[in-house]
Amino acid sequence: MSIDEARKERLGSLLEACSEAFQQGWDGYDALPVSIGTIAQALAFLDLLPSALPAPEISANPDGELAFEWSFGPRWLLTVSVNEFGRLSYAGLFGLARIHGTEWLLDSIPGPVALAFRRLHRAE
Amino acid sequence: VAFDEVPEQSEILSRFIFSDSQFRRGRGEVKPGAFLPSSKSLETSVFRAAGLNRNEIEAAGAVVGEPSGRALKAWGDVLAGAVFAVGLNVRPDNAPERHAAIIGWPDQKDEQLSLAQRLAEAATLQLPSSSPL
Repeated sequence: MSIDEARKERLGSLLEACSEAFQQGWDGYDALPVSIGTIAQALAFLDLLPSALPAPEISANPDGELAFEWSFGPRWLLTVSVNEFGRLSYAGLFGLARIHGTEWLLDSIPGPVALAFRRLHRAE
Repeated sequence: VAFDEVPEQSEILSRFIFSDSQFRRGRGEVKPGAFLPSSKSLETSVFRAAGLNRNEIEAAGAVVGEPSGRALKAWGDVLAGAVFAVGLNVRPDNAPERHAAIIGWPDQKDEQLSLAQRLAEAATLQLPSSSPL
């Protein structure tokens, strides 16, 4: 798959996640809708993802943030959630190890998140 | 089971799911997002399924989705003991009947994600009888 095709696929996943979550209560409870600001930050994050990284699953969270998730089976999982201010909240399960933290989206993937991506590769 | 009392470790709590984005049908997995708390209440609603068969649980889930007009897509079963094991708690309010809430969530989103991942790992995905294979 070319880089353009991969980007197109990721954009499609993002649009799908957003279209479901544009209304209050989209999860059947009282979830907040995804805002335009969150979509803009998610697009910026998407464009910074390494092309070699497998495509993430993209979905909305009940707080209106957009979550990017890479899952490689039991206990090998990374979730990065983006909010409208560019805050990246991440959590990972890598076998017996657990990580989590908060970073901010600037002009590159923050170091701890990039490190988590490298750990994901071990599961591929 | 007394539904106004805190559940035993072995009691099953069902989290009803109304969005396809909160589970992986092919792999039979609940995603962490299904367990994340409401940002308003910082609670996750669950249904105490003790003593009910699948059809009865499914019917209860359908009722929960009625006010928002959403069909039940799946539910995730998790033992109360798994909730306690990650440091969260269960508030038994029985309003409506058999309703409870997972409480004690931290404010920080990254900590919420980490706990939700652990609950999802411990959960079993259940699909409605009308669900496509």
